[in-house]
Amino acid sequence: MFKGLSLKIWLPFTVLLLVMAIAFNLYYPNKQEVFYIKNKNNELKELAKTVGLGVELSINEDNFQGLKKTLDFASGRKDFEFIAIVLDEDGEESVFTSYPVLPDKEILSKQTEKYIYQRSKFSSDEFQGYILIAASKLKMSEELTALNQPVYFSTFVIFFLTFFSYVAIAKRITRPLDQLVKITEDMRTENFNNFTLQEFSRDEIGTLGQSIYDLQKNLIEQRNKNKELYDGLEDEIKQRTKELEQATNDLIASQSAASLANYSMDLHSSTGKFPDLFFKLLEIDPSEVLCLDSLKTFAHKDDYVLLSSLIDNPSEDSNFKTELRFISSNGNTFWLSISGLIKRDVNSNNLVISGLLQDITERKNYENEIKRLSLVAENTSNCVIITDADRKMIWVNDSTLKLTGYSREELIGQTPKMFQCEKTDLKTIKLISDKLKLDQPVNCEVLNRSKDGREYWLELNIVPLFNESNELYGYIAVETDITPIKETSLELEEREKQLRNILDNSAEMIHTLDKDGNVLWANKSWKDNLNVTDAEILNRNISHFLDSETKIEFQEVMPLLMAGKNVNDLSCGFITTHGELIHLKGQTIPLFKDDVFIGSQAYLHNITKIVKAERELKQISSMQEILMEISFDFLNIDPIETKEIVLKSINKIGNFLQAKHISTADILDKNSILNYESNQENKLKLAQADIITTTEDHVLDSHEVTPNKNNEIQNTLLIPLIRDNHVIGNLMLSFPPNRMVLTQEIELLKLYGSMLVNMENRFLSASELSEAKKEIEVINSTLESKVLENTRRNLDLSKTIVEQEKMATIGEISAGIAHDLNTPLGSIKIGAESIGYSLETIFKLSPLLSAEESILLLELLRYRKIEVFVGGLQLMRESKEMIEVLQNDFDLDDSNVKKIADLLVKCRINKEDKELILQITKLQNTETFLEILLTALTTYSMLSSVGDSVTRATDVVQNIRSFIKKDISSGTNRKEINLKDNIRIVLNIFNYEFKRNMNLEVDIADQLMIKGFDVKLFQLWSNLIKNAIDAMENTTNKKLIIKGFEQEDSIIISISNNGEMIPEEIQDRIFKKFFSTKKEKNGTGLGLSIVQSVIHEHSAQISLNSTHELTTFTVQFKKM
Amino acid sequence: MKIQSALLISLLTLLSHFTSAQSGDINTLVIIGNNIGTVSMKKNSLINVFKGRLDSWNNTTTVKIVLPSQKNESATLTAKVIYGTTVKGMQKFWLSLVFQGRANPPVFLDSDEEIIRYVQKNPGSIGIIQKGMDYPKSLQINITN
Repeated sequence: MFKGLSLKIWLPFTVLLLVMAIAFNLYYPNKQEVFYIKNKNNELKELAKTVGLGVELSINEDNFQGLKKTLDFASGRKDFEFIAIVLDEDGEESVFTSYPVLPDKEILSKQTEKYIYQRSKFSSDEFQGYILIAASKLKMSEELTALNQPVYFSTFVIFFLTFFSYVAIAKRITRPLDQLVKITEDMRTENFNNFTLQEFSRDEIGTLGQSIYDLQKNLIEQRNKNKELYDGLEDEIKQRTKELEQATNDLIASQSAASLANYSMDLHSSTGKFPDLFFKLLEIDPSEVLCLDSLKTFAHKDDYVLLSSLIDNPSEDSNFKTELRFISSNGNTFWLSISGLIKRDVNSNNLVISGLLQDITERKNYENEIKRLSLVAENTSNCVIITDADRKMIWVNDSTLKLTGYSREELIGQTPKMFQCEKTDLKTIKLISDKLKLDQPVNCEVLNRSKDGREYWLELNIVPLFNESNELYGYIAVETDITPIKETSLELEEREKQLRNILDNSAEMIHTLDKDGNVLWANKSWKDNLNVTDAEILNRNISHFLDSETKIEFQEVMPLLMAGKNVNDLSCGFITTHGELIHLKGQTIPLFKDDVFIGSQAYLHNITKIVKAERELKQISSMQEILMEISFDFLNIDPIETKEIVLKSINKIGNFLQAKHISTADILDKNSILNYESNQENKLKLAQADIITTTEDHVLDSHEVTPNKNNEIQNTLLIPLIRDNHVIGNLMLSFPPNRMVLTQEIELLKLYGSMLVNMENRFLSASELSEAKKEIEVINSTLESKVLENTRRNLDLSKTIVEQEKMATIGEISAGIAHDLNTPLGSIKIGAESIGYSLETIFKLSPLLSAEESILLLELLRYRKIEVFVGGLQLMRESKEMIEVLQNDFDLDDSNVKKIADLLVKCRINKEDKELILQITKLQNTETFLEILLTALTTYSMLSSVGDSVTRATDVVQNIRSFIKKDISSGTNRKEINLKDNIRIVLNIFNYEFKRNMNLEVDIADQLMIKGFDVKLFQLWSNLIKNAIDAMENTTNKKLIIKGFEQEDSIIISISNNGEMIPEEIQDRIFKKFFSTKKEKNGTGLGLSIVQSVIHEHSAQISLNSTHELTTFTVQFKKM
Repeated sequence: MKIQSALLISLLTLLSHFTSAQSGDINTLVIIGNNIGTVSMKKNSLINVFKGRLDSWNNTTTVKIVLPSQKNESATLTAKVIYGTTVKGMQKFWLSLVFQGRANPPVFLDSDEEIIRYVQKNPGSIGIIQKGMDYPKSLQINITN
């Protein structure tokens, strides 16, 4: 069994196994017994406890099931000798029962050598004791032995199995090792003939043996080969020596071609042998002896230390290689690559350095150049990509990685096509491909996509690369990221499109002219207003579309534009293709390119309707004025004088109409018109009972045009005079050509016609009455007194009738006026509002203002209003204060501080509002900004006044009838009114009066509130102020003072003037209706009676104090 | 002599007690049974059954004894009539019997109604209730001397 195994191998292991088996068998049973007994005790204790609980449950709860189950379980195990219920009554123990049933003596006697005991107490009301369990020690010992027997057996089996396994393994390992030893021995003794090859099985150990077998086999073969080689080696050496000589010669030739040469330096004697090449480079005579110290003098200053170190202190390594710079005798720098071998003596002293040196100047220059180019390529912000001839990337710089988002590993080996995306222009791709196929450079813009999906624009420059044989070996692409430029360009195009769209759709008329005034572009509004198309206007001179006046103005405007000046407040007239004149207002600005005037652009607003409305308003106001005057004349006359008044009024209206460009006004009887017609070459083709009707904005037709006596073309208007449905005559009016007649004018003239007829009626009645009186005088001369009485009564009655008729007439007139005025007033109001919106647009588009200035301007316009009635003295005072503030706090230049201060004050910017002043003074064009702001504020204020006045006029018109009928209060509601605001509106209306030569002082507290009728109060203030202005007509230094303040329970408003004093004798009559001191100046006598009426309605009081210096009307309201 | 007298007296007392118990008024109780193979039973047989001396009936069904618990009013009378002892004595009797593994424990129920319901549902069960209770007459077991 142990054959072939050394004792040293099997004996120690066998002893070790034996000792382990014995130790285990000694230790294990004891440990097992202790564990078994402990376990048994625990089990018995648990059983006793469980039984005790079962007993308690049985006695206390009548539940025997638990006890039964526990006992059944315990009896099934049979690991106890007996179990008993032992009662313990005051220390006296007795057995109640047991299982199995045993004598009490055996149970109660403690036989510890025979049994082990466990007990557990229980208790109930009448039943205390414990459960006693006993287990036989003998039985336990038997059980333990039975448990240990398999362990002993197992230990024995494991011992033997391990032992035999060990021996078998050891034998398998030692067998190939023995073989190896044998081979080694054979090799050592060169006993190759006795090799015995031995096969091994193919397991792990067998593999080892097989390897040894293979080794043995190879050794034999190698030995045979070596022998053959040795035989042919001598011939080979000869052949190789020849080849070596040839190679040496080739090497020398190569060295020469590669600027290589041998050198040697004797460090001991400090001399050297250097090749001719070296002398040639140093540009010295080769015959010169070059010692090592003189060699150092040729070294470049940066390499001197290195060369000195090489010569004086060579490195400890035998071989070295270095590159050094030298300066030739003529100052030329050249590079040498020096490699060599250091030979040392036995004491390590350096003796000789010999080796090769090579002129590498050209290579170094190339290297430096390449290094510089590499630095440029690597560090440029442009992307640089180098590809091979197949367009696969072989090098990319960092900028490429940064832009594309790819790593270098992802890019190398790929073609740049990977950067293209579906949006990349296919034409561009084809262009690149075509050019590269022709080996031509490419320059184009291309859209690519990065790894993260971001698109970017590149300016691409691709250059093909050729080698010395002119063969293509790759491409270099330099790419510039032009995405921001491209995006900006696209955004600019979009902005331009939007701007053009805004301009094109603007309500303003906008056009662009070249430097000669030819139309380059006009927006939609422009073309719509003039009813033209692009074809009709483009490249045509603007003068084709201008009216004659504007053409002249245009000649003046052009030089201003060419001088670079904006022309604001430009008013002009354009003629449409229908020949209509449209009025425009706006501004034009010059356009420059590279400081050369290239044209102009104009922003114009169509104000035709506003102009017309203004004209209509003037005409109607004038007509209304004259008719009112005539009407009041009628009211104040005796019927007997009617005829005279009628004639007078005809003259008056004739004068008025003449002043309004109406050539003549005649009253004709019904036959005269026929005569008139028959005398004319161009007869009027009109029926007598008809009125020549015109429409608004309509010039009389040609067939209505007749020549006057001087053969000038005239328009004629006939107003029929009708009584009892019969035409009794005509009012004939002649107009110059192109004079527009408004519907409102016709209506007023019709009214006037009917009034004339009415007067005629009354004239006839009065005549009849006079005649009747005379008859009565004749017939009833005896009853003179009675007749006189009756006559007086009749006269009173007739006066009453006349008075009533007068009032009726005024009522009719007022109704007509109210009806006719409402429409134009509405137009004016809408016009005023639309002017406001248009102005806002103009300010937004104004080229004089930057975006920031426009925003500030609109903000100020939105929240700020100016009071146009501020007096000049107040402005001067505030201006001085503002100058101080600007100089002290804002450090403004003295040259323009006064103007800016004036403008700030006029714009009503408070000197305390320093934040706003700072914002304005920081603007680029403060002065221009303030001028525009002032103009805008003034315009808005005027527009606001126009709006308020129109509203007031509307209310006044509507209230005229009710005022006459003393029914003023009907239809109106009292409301809270701020008196300052109320008076301010009235002052705005009279603003033109104040501006002339009047000093206005207004001092009204802010919150003077009363309840009343705002329109009536307008009438109150306007009458008092109008009276004051009229009273100062002949005063040189006019002064109007308006004050408002609270006094105890009252609010006082006083209006004073320094005009003529009101005489004391008429002071108590001035408030009566129709009393007037201005009859010769068309005074109606109604003003102060209206004042009295309004005062009465507001339960207020009015008093008058008139002296030579000052006349003051004081109105006293009760506080709210 | 004194000892003998004492023993005699004790024996007589016990005997009288036993006699009294045996001759207790069993008519104050009603025996009910379900599928026990008979409708009448002798008094001694009945006592043997209730003392756990019978495991199965003649019809092979297992004997299930149903007794009133301590909370049941019938417990005292049952203990006296059947076991000739107190309620606690009855419990100790059954504790001893069960502990020694000689019988299956009876079912103790808290009211006569529960006893009736239990007997109705469990074949082979026999129980004791007081007279005057409503119960199915088919369950009644007549006791003869």
